[in-house]
Parts: sequence; structure tokens; C-alpha cells
Amino acid sequence: MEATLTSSGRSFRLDEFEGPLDLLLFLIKKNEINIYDIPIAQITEQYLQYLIYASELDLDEVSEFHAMAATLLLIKSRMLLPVELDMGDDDDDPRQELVERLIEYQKFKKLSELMEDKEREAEWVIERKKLQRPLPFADDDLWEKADVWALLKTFSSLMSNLSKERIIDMYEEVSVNEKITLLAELLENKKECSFTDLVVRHGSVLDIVCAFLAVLEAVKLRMAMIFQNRMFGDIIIRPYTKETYDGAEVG
Amino acid sequence: MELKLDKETALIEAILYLESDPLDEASISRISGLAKEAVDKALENLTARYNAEDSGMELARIGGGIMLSPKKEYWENLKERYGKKNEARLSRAAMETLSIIAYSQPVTRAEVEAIRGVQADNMIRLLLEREMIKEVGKKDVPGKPIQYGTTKDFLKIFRLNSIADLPKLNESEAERFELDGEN
Repeated sequence: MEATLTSSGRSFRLDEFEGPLDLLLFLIKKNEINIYDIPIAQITEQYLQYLIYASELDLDEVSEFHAMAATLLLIKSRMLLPVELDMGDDDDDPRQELVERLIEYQKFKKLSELMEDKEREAEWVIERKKLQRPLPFADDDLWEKADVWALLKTFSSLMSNLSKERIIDMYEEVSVNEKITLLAELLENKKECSFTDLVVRHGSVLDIVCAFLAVLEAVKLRMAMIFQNRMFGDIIIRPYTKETYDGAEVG
Repeated sequence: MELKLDKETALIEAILYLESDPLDEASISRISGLAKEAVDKALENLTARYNAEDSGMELARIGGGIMLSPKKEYWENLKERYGKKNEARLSRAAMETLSIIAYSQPVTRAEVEAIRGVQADNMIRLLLEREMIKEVGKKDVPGKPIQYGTTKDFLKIFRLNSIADLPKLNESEAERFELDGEN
């Protein structure tokens, strides 16, 4: 065999190849072979030598290389068969399928190189540095969807106005349901109301507590949504709408 | 009648300035409140404006969307401060697998394996994880194998408008890789 493994002064390792086809293409190129007329005995010989060198590699990694070796040996043996058996069919070159696979693979190798160039070209992806702050908006509709925490703050500030000595009047007839009804009424008539609108008797602890619970309940039942225009500010209650709710979730 | 649409062009320019991701024409039309024809004309105006040599920006078409982007010729000057190094370069094996999928999609794992001559499970899993490919259907053959195709992210990473813009082989190469090249 004129071409040896180290003919170019360096030896190659099997794991440098992307697969058996890659190795075959390498051998074809190295021996300056016409891909349409591969001297199959010579190529098979060289190919098998590579496999010997690879024997210490994990069998899993080389199984595909061995499968190709079997294919090469099969082609080689078929080419050794007397020509008469081929019934004179010109198309029946045992190498044909292999050649087709090699050419197909070679095409994708070339395309893959083009993609690599493209990747390198787009490698420095320039992105906008950061999002701008929102543009100012001249509209009184800048109420933001508030959370329960904000509600609690309002509640506690209302509570702090009450004198500590005040005794809860158990005969005050206020209930959470009543407040929910009041809230529903206000929402229907005015489309929105503030938390303090719900407190009818200012200074009544029970009234405030019931109003607070009613708002929580209404939010839970998806009857209302709460908004706030600044931290610790008053709370606006509006009827529940799916669009605003979803919008607020995303935004 | 000559349509100039100066105001509309300016509005769309402002929108593209504010957006950091590519926008498709339908979105531009929705955001600007302008009809599709006006958007098209305005984009045409902007393209002409940016193509002029004294502009550092261009309208890049990426993944079917349009974005304002610095011209490529200035990347070298910009990259140090604004560039984002692509740290996750694909290995050769991954790139070969990806290009087979990109150029032959929709394609099954077995078809990829037939071309590369090696197992493709790991590479396909990696590409799925990186969201460069996705399942696009099932092939109508026994076993109904999954077919894979490329994603929008893939287009963005390679700065392509569509898969029709994948790099092409030149004529002599294409001929060389014709299966029945010479017989």
C-alpha cells in the first residue's frame, strides 16, 4: 500500500472525523481519487487500518465506523465476483449507492461550512442596550393594578385614625355581605369607586373591617379589581374585566 | 398622484426605534394604526433613506420581521462596546446536523442519520434544547416518526429572513454534488 497512515507526517485519530463518511471522504481526497471510480480494495484497506488504530476507543463511538467497514468489504467482495453474474447490467455497480451517499454527505458538509460562515458573520449580535422608560402619557387613567398589600396599607392607615379606646359596638348591624352589595351597587352606578366610599360610618372599626373584607372577597370572586395611582395612595375599585386583568398580568 | 406619506414614514421610523425585536408588518400596522399599504410605502421610504451612504442604520429583515439595525460595515467599530459574543458556538457535528435539518426540512431523525452515517439522537436533543429546531409534524410512514424543522430563533441567530435565504451552493458546486454528475 503506497499511502500509509502517516504519509503526510502526522497520524490521524478516528474521533477527528464526524463519522465513517467523513473518514472516507478524507481518504478519497488524500489519495486524489475520482469519487465516481473508487479503487475499493485500496480504500477498504486504508479504512480498516484506521479502525485498528481506533480499537481502544469506546465501542459505542466506533460502531458506525465498523458498520461502514462491513459495507466496504461487501462491496469489495461483490466486485471480485465474476462479471458474468452481473447479467451485463451497466447500472449495477456495487459502489453506486456508496458513491451517492458520499456525494450527498459532501454536499451537506459544504452547506454546513456555509452555515458556519453565516454564524460567524452574525456572531456579534448587536442588541439595543436597554428598554427605554415608558413614554409619559397625558391621561388620568394611570391607575396601576394594585395588590392586596396596598389595600392593607390603606386599611391600616384608616385604622390608625381610630382611637384605641373605642369599644366595638356589637350591635352595629354591618356585614361583609352588605358591603359586597354596596360595592356592587357603586360599581354598577359609577363604574368605579374608592375604598373610602365603602366606609359609611367613618370611625367604625366594624365598618372598615367589613369594607376591607368585602373588597378582598370581591377580588377573589373576580367581581372587582383594585388599582392604585401611587404607593400607599387611595385604592380605586373597578369592575372585573378579563382584558384588563390579563393585560395587567402581562404588563 | 404621488404618495409621499412623510408623517407616516416618520411615525414608523419612531416605532422601529422604540422596538428592540423584529416586528412583522401586521404588528407595525396595528401599532401605528396605519393601513398595510401605507406601512409598505413607509417601509420603502425608510429603506431608501437608510440605504443612503450617510446613514449608519439599515432596515434589517430577520425572521420575517423588520428591525432598525446598525449597518454591518460598522460592526467592527461597534462590537467592543455593544457586541454580544456568541459563546455557544455549535460543534462541527451539531452544525452538520443542523444544516441537514435546515436544508431538508421537514426531516426525520432516521433521514438525518442516513445522510451523516452516524446516530443523531444527541445532536437533535442538543438542537432542541437550544431551540434551534422543533418538531413540525409526523411523517406518514409506519411508526409515524417525528419530523424536525428550524425555529424562529434559528433565523434570528443566523440573521436570516426566512429559510429561503439560507446560503446557497454556487453553480459549480451544485453541479459537483448532483447525484448523477457523470456516469
